[in-house]
Amino acid sequence: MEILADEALVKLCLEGDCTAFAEIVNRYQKQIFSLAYRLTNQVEDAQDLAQEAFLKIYQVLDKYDTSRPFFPWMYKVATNVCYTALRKKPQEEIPLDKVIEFAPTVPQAATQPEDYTEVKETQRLVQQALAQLPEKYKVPMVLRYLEDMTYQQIADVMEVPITTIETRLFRGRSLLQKRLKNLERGV
Amino acid sequence: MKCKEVKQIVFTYLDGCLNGQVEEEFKTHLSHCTSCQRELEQARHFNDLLKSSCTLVQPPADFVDGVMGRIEEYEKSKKAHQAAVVSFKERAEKKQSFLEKLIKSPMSFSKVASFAALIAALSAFLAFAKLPEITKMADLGAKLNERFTIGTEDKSTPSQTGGTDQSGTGLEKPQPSQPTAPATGSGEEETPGSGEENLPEQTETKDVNPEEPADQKPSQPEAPEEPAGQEEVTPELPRLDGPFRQVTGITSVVAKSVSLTPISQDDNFISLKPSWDERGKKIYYFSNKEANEGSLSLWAKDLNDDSVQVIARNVAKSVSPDKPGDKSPDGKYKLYQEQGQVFVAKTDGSEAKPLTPKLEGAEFTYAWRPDGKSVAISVKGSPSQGLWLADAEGSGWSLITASGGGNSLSWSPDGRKIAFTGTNNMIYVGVLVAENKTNLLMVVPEGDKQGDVTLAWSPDSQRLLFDWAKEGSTKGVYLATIPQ
Repeated sequence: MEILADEALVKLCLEGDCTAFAEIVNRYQKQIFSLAYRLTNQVEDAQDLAQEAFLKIYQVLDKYDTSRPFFPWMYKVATNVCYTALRKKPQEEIPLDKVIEFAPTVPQAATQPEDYTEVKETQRLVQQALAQLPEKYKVPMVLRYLEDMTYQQIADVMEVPITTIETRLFRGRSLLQKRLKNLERGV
Repeated sequence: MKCKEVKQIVFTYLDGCLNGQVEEEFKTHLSHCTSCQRELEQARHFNDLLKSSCTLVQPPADFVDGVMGRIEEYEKSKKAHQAAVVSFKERAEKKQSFLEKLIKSPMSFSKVASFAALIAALSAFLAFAKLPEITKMADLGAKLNERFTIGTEDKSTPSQTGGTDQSGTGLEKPQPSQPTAPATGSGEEETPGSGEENLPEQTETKDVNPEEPADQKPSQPEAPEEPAGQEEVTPELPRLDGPFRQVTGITSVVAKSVSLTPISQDDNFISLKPSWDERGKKIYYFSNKEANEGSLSLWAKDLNDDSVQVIARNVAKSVSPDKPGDKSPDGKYKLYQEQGQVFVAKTDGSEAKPLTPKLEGAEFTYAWRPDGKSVAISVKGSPSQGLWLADAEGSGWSLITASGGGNSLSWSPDGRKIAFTGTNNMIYVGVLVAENKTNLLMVVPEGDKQGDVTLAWSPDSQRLLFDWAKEGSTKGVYLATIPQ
């Protein structure tokens, strides 16, 4: 079976072939769902948000410039959908049972079972603290650490100057460090 | 490059985003600064932790089906909407042809005339009926505007006591959405509260994020701001009951700037409960730096050479500010509170006398003046809230300032100054310059939201040591030099 490039799939989709879009969703579901999940730290919210993002991508597909790479454009649309949704939603405390079990794709370096548990617990705290950050800080943080985006790429996605991204990453990290301390103390 | 600048760009360095010259300066500084080397290691560790915690996650198995299901619904509703639009157009076209037919048909004149008369009558009726409604709506609009104006005047006017509460808790006039001013090339963040950045297909809202740190630029030093301004104490006194009488008049106060020196301030660690050595040359404090999780170590700073060293590790789990002693300086009397009143009595409990009237619901913090002749009393939770000076004989008391009411209180050894807190843990110093006059100084620019503070005077009464946390920072230890 021929594997089509993203741009070709988009073209087919615009011609009315829905299965082409299903293939796009299949290719990028992990990235978009991960983005939504790292921003919300809850499975149900992440699922809704990610579906919303793909629906939006589908709705604005005719605006995509086929001469440019598809993934950055698609990711930008998805980020905007998430960012808008987060800003509308009031900040709330996330109960621990809503946090899905962290399933690392890379084996941990810990050698002892108790080390692994401790690492896992720390990571859970980090994810919780990250999800609690204000959206203007957590979005660039997630883009940086989840997708390893450069400052310029993040600035392009969020459509703000690169200096703003530097400032937000700095503040996001500072806030995260403080929140982690509070969480560890049980505050 | 200074350590503070290094700290601010350490993550940018790890991200590989420093420009060549800055990176060179950064590395040069690191080569001779062990503290910043530790900072880099900590940042590296934190970075690694974030990377390992923020990875891809497998979506649920039916995720793609869910997306396609929503797209299908979207397509259906889109088609239904399009069908409705077509139907409307068709009806509109049909109507048009009816009118045309009406005009062209025989006997049309009478029909048209009747129809026109009917339309005219209908229009007149509607116009007449609508007028009051329009008037009412105009009135409603005016009333709404009026209500907003009154609301704005009443509730968003800044406080008259010199503080400016910009927390937005009052009714605010709704702001129209406005685009954000683009950030400047110097790295300055957009003005807080001016609106959000422009993202495609989003509406902009006012930023009311309470998490916003106070500082604006990473490169700006984080020195505490100098307070300034005038503060006047209202001359109105609460009525005194029983044998009490007003001993002195109200003191007028002036707020002056106080110079602050950080003794131990690090956003990575807390420092608290400072104290002096006997000679006033060393400062001791507790910190979780170089301490186990959940513990505190004891540190010392030598003011002669600014050297800092840990004295003992893991000496305490928690510490809290000491309350002033209730025994008089000569040890013969004691203070106590009972049923909303403060009393003085001999240490055996005899010869008890009230120092305050009975104040329902009031909480007290009190401290003997070093000469034993009067007692400072901080009153909270009462119309008499504030800082008072009571005669130790029980002959009366006078209000120093209504800004008191906090839990911390400390006399300078010479008895001429009193450090105290307000109910929001704002720190003040009252300098008793004469019997009826006290100069009030604001030591810090804002109250400490993290809790009670420790106040400790130097043996020479010239400097005040305290722990304090400004908004968004960890608790640190500071030294205030009190102007004479």
